Amino acid sequence: MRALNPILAILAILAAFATPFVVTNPYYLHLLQTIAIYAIVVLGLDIVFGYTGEVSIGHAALFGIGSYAAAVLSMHFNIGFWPALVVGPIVAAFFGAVLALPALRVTGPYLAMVTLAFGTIIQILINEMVPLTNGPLGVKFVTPAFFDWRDYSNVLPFLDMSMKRMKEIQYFIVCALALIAVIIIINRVLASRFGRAFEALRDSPIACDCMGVSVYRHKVIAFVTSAAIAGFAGVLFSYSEQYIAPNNFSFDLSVLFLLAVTMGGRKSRLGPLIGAAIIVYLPNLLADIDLFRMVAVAIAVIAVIAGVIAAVRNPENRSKVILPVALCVAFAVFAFMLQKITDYKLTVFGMMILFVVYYLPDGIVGFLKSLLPRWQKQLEAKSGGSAFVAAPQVDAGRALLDVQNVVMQFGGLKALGGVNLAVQPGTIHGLIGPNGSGKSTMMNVLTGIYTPTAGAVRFEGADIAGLKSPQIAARGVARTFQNVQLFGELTLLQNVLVGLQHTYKSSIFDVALALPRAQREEESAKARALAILDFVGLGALASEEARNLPYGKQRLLEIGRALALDPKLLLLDEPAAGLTAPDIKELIEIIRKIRDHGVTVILIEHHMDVVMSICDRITVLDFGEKIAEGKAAEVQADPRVIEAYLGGAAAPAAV
Amino acid sequence: MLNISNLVAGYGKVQVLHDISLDVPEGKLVTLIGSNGAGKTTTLRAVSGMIAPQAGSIKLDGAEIGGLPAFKITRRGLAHSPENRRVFTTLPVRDNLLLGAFPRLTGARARGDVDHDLNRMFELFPRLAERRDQLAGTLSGGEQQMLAMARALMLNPQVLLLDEPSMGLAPRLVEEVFATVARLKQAKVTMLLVEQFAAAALEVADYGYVLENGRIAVSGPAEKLRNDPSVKAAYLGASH
Repeated sequence: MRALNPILAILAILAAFATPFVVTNPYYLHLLQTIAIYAIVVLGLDIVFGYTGEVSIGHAALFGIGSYAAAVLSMHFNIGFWPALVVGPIVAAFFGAVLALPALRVTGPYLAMVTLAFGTIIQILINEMVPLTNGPLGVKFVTPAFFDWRDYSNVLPFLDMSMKRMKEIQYFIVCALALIAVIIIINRVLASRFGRAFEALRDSPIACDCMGVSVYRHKVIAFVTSAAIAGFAGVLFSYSEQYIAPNNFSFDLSVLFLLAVTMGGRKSRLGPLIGAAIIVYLPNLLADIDLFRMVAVAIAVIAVIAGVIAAVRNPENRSKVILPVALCVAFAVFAFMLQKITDYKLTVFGMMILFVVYYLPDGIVGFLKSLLPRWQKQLEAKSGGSAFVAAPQVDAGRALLDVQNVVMQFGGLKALGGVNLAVQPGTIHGLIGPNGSGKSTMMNVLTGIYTPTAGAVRFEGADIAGLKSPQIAARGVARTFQNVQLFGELTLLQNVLVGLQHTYKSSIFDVALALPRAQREEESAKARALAILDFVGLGALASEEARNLPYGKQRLLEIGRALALDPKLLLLDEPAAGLTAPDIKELIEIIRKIRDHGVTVILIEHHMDVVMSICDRITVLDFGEKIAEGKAAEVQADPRVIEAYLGGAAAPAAV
Repeated sequence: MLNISNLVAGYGKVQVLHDISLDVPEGKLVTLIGSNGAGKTTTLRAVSGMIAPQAGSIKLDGAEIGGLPAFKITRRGLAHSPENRRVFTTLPVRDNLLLGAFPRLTGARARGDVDHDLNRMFELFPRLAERRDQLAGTLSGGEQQMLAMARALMLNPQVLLLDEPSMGLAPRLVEEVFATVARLKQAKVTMLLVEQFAAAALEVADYGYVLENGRIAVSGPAEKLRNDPSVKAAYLGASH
């Protein structure tokens, strides 16, 4: 992949320069230019929509803000294209941040609602703020110059020749190069820790926070980046159209952008390009009946071929394939029956959308990918370094974790009623008790998912009660989850890399520019991640998607991901649940080794063989109260524990 | 009652089950054991239509059900109590149970006396009776497991699939779950049980099948498997 990318980039640049010589008709060249500009917006929208899974219905407004930033600069300050190309994204990013900061605090459909309102307001504001924006009359632009900070010609007269206005062909090349640059930057950002965080927070926000990767922060980063890209495209659009008006940036356009992402295919670079081409080209296509017929026939032919391939590969699919293929053929016939197309424009458009939603839920690119054989990515990194950094200092005598009188109340329900818990460094501390006794609540209090109603939680002497999950994770408390919380669509390696996020220092700009510092960081993190995977015995599966792992291995991966945090304290919530006897033996070995590396472990578990054989000390909870504490043998013999938890002599677990 | 022959299934392009054949006779309890990732849960999911089998046949009471959508299979009388319970957390216990009887209320299955069966469930699981108006999400793990089993039984199923009913439960509750399974067996409910506690499962079952990497490695009367040295070594383990 990596070796292929520079070649692709060079080919794309050559294509950008060659296109004006192939497409000599200025109308079509302008159409391509518009596609390139829209594609930039759609690519940016894909970061938010495809990767983080949030919906924005306000991208047309952000796009418009970029355009009007260029307009204001040109009208009021006589500042031209090149500076605007820098200012536009900054202004759009600012508005993006204003939107995202409050809206993304809560999960749910809020961003969609806020952006919807935002889009409407911006359009009205542009209309009304006549002194600034010239209102409904719109703004005219002159073609940009090669270099046009106009006053510079006085200071630096030799630059005078560069004052020449660009020709259409040259501006097309500028737009095409801008598109290529945006694709490269987005590729880099998405392949970096930021892209991983975007996907991880969609798959499991709670685990993401507990890995020290703030969900909120990364959602905001994604949205602001996307807004900046939309603003950038907006500036290009102003100078491309040379006239903009408020109705260029209507609600419809926001919907078209979303449609382009969905139709083209989310989470790809090619998808937004195809999607942008469709939304720009379709209105034109539907104006010319001969062209429309040609395309309808082409679609029918492709559908028949794809249908035959699918049917041959998997005969059971035959019945499912017939309908969409028949629809495509019927569409072609329909195209020839139509005399005047303009009347049917909206109908045809609507039908195409329905078709895509029904039969291509992963978009055109997703569909094409499913036809191709699966392509196993080769791992580039080599395992290196140790799974553990230097063993944390063990300061015997003082408790690493000291929980004092913690109360956790949900409405009238008291899940924890004043529990004390002291965990000595370098030990494995068991936490057992009946279902519903408050063990998992305790875990959630310790990791900041809940803020305790009362009491103190001291970790290394500092009170951490009330801190947010990412902050507690940053102090060295890692955890696994009772119901496994992996980032399913990420590979095993990427899952561990999310845990290693804290080892990165480079910013999103370093990543976009591919500075050597950022690349070195990534390489060393990958080596470390592989070492961790080897430690939990999953090294061979590093490039597999986590959701394809069987349950038992998922639990091991969770432990590995938690270890990536370099924790001082590791909380394991029922790691043996759903494991069979041989797997449990392996698990016990791993937990022991973790302890031997100086990591303190709190273990919640119902498998008594695990708890009794490895725990240095055990605390028993029942109904949110501590009913016993001590060494394994003491607890096992305690009549209250037998009564509340262990039950009659021979539990089936012991068979 | 349930006959699986030459079943092949998996997820996407990953094939998990290769050629599984298995029979669950009427009124018997059959258990499926094996290590993690062997394909136990996948087998149950293929049988109940959660995933479509890629090849092979699945017959319920003589009629082919392979490839049918899950809700149609349920209507024919196959109930699935899934891994991790999956109760409807925002509905009260009673509504959870009534939803289990949904195909009976809509006429897809013999209606019978739903209210009577509801009361029978409350007798069988007294904890649920105490909490009949409580939201299922507020139940403890053990109670949720009871609810998941009771909900499946509300179908009056011809076959009941139980996936890891003891997972994540305190030792005392694990005992209770196995006691319940034994009671259901006495009541002649036909069951296919997937369990991590292989030894306990073989104790209560009539027949056992051992899955290894998506294939049946050993099968036979539970009694025989319990004493099979290779099964003992690999699955019954030295856990205690």
